[in-house]
Amino acid sequence: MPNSHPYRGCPDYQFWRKEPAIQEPRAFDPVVSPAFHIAPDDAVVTAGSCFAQHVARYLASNGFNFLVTERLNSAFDPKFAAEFNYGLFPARYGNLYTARQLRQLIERAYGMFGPVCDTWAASDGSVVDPFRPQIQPGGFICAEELALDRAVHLAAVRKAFEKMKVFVFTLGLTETWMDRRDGAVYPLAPGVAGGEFDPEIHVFHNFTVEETVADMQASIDFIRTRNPGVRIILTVSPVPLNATAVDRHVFTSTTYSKAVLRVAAEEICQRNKECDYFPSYEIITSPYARGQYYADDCREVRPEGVEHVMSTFLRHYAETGARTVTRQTKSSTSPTSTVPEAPSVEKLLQVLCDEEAIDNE
Amino acid sequence: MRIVFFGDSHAHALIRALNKSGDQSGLTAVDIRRIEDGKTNNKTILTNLAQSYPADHLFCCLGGTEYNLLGLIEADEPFDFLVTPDDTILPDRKPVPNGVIRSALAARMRSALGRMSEVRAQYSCPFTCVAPPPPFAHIDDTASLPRAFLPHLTKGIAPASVRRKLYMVQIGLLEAHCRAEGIGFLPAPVAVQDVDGFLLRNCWRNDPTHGNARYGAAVIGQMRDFQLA
Repeated sequence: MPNSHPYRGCPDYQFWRKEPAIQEPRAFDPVVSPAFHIAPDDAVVTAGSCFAQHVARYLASNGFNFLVTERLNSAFDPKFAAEFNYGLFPARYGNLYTARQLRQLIERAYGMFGPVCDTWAASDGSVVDPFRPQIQPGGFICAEELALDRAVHLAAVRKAFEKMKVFVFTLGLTETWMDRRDGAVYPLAPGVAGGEFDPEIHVFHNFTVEETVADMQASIDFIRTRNPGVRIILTVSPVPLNATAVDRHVFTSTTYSKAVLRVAAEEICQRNKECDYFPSYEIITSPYARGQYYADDCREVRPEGVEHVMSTFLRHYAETGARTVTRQTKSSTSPTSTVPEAPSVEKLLQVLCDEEAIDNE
Repeated sequence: MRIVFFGDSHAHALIRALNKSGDQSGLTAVDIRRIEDGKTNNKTILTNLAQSYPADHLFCCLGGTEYNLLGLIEADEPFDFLVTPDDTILPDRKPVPNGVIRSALAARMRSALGRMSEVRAQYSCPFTCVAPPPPFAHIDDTASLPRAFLPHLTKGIAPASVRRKLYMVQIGLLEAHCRAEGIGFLPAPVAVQDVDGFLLRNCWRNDPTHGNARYGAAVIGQMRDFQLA
């Protein structure tokens, strides 16, 4: 009779050598027991790093109620929506790389935070929103126009957070640039896509686990005061840093950043009910994938990787039990979308990734 | 001096003015769409213009109603936008970024600007782009809207200030295009506009998108002054 030990009788997924993905990478499915499911009419809001844009597109084209509260005026051809980043996310907030960005977006939307600096000048004379510097191609014509657009935008943010049933947030980065006067954080360093870097004002900051947990918890707590029933899914972006401001190799900074975010996500999910961690990071980066999900630049995630992530997501979270994912192609439509509000997100093929603007030249 | 004006529908204000005045001074206004038979609209630019209409100075106003196509009829979601920091948004209208307006108008203008380039390529003489007429301020009982707008008339006409802003954006795009292409640009005559920049009521008849003979005469006078200068 075999000896008794704590691992005896545990399910196969707890054992590395029993993982079917060792033989068949596509079989890798690290999701075990989702805390909830998403019904077709549950309004889903996504936010986070550029990987979150993939999540948004797939949800919109696979029968989920992808909530969009900030749309291009219907007087204009929908083709301009993509150009001006409407529908990329539920509201035009662009990429929210850090938990602090999410927290400050909420605080700005509800009038709890008014940054000292809320406009950046661009080199062409236009005005840029420091908190979404690439959202308006060509910039705004003046600070007054930015203020008008921001009022519309923040109202849309409030509406999205109050109407959503499910919030999917992808943690992307720990590195940020901050205004030392009030702590406002930016998705891009001043000077990259507007504004001017001033070492007297702008300071680099690399968030810790504790800070990330605190920011994420504060965001969830506030959202749930306005929307008590919201269910939350946290993910960590598998996309490595494009650049690091720390004097070390960018990959070393990447592993620090992803480790912090992964630990923070774990802690948040343990602390909060109806708050799941979805392992998109693991699906892309695990040895089972053998690195095949990264593009030739070793950074961008190939469509096959996104498809693996999202088919896993749909399998476990879609209440209807979807088993396949509608592959995103230039001409793809959203045949399974049952929601009138779903935008033509499938047309938004060009992923806005603010990070790409960073270069050392 | 042979002066030729090529236009689409806006050519007719000048044609009417020339007919009315019996001008024999070498200025010709042509509806470039109807060269072949005088009545059928054809947006394809003929390739023998320089032979058919030799010119020492060419003026051109193709397209021109794009701003009205975008904003003459009230939208389902009434919108407004800024052109300058001092502008205001009318109550109960949703602000739209100026960049969206510019992109939408630029897309609508692309065809006319392309055709204008085709015309220009056939001539080596000076070439000047002429602005379309400014918007009217108020519609009245004598005005009739183009047929394309009739199904949408129930929505009403957009406010004058919004239409004027759309016109200003279109003119800005046109001027920028002309600068980039090294083409001269002639704005709408000041004499046909009221103090707010709207087309004077006596310069349009019953069609609010086109000028009348009086308007055409003002443009001709301006072309002559420009050409002499």
